[in-house]
Amino acid sequence: MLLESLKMAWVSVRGNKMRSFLTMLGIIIGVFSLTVLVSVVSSVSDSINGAVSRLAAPTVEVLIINDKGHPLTMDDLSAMENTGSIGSVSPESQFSLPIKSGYITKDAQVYCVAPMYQEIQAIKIGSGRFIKEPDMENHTQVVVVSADVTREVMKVARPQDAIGGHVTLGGYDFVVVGVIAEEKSDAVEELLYFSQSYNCYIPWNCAIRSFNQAQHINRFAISAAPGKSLADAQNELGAKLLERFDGDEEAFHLLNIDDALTSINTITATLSLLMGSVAGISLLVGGIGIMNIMLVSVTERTREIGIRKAIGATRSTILQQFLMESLMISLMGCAVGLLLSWGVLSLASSAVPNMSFRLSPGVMMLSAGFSSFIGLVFGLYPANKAAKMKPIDALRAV
Amino acid sequence: MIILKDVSKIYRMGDNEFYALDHANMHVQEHEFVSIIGPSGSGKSTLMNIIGCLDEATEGEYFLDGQEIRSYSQTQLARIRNKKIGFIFQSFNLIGRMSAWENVELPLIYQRVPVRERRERVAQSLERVGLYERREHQPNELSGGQQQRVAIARAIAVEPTLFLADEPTGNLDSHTGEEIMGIFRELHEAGNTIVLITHDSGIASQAQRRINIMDGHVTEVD
Repeated sequence: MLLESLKMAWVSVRGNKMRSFLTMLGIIIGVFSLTVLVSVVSSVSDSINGAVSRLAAPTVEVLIINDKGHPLTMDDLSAMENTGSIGSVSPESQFSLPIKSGYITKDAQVYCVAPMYQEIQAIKIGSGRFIKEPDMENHTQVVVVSADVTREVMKVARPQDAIGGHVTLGGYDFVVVGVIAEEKSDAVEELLYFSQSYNCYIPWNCAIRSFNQAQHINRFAISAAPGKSLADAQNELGAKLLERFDGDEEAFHLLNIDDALTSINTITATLSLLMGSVAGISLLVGGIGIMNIMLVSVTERTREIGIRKAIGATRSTILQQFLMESLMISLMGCAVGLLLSWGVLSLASSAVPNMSFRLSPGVMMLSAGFSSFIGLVFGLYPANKAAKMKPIDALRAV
Repeated sequence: MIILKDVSKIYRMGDNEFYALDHANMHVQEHEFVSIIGPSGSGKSTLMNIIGCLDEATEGEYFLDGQEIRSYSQTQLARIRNKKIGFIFQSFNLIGRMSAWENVELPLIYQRVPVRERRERVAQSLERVGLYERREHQPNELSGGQQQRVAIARAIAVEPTLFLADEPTGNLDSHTGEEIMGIFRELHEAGNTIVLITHDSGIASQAQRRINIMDGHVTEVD
């Protein structure tokens, strides 16, 4: 019987090709916008998440806002290191300085750090080495640069050719000892880290001498001790700092990457929901279109309904037939819409470099479910109208 | 087989009551070929609708095959129409978008006859009316006489207790009408019960027995 109603529905959908297509159009557009919008948002959000968690190591960054006259020093940090859940600790002072090599001058981001910073931030060295303990002790003027510095400022062919070369940072001469490995980044990563090109890492101690950097530390980063969770490390650090700053929670600020990810995810989830609901409304409008056409169809086919009832169709048979028709229209529309959005997303994936927009199975299931729901709900009224007809009245219709 | 006892169909318009059927009494026995004759407006369509379980009587009792029809629900009535009655209408009442085969098959689908048996019965019925070769044609590709034969095949396929024909030759020329009447005679000879409603006494006289209807009053003539 189900097969028969399917066949009948198909005959009817096929019999009115143009009308069926126009009816489907509402669902096609609805499903298309739903899947495309949600897929784009979720792809971008995945990409941001991936970029952030890949580029950012599991660290807690500390900003001292008010040191209450007791600024932290390198000794304080050393005392903190490897106690309890806290692993490595490194100061992290960042400022912008002109970098010069030959006749080329650019603005570089200079980070004044300790050797442990490499481990904390999981910095990968492409060639040469990172800052070492002797550099700190001797206040050596060495610098570790990002690959774009070697390419665009020093103008060397390969990054390793920059090792041993000289650059001028804020008027002081530095020897390049290491180059950071260059990683392939996708569109979103480039966007996120666009402002952070020409990175230079110099020893903290050297910065104090060369750039009149004060001894006290306003910003530093820690990692968790091996086998300890970052959250524990953060709590412990928080307790320590609270004690030091007389219980003033406003004196410092702890920032970890998970917090940042959580807030990014909240934003993208909201965005996804918002766009999804807009697309959902267009699906709903498509459903009203189905109801409209089905009502016309019921009126047009009054006589057919009469004949069917006269030769023995029950109310439920007629109801089933018309419901099947609206379900078929909405599901066909859904299929076309999915196909269309698959095509558009594939096109977009090849158009935007290093970015892939995928049609997630969840979204496909959601749109199929929503479409059938709409087909059934908006088909119910016309189908019931047809089923309720009295056979003699329906037969009399011309 | 068919027994009507004091059956009335009353239409109320405001305070007026109109008897489309006024205490009608009649009976039809098994294997009988009965014609009901009356001019238009005599109530014969109302009678046919009641016999065919398309409409319910306001008063009186109607027995079909020994069962009283009154107490049935819409769904039960649909099942009775489906299994017991083979309708043949003046305007053929075939479904336009479906082939001759599909039209004949439809009541069997509603009966949930299994596919294999269904195929056999549809083929036999179409052969019986001589239209097996045209089974893939849609009604608008067939002549009036052929359409009516498809309608008869649809009734035959059901193997009904009663063939109920309402002016089956009304829309056909006399020659084609004669062909159709020939099929009815054959059906009768094969032992089927037929009730034929007409306003044409020439057609009516081909039945075994006539029942007259006039202004809602039924008189049986033996």
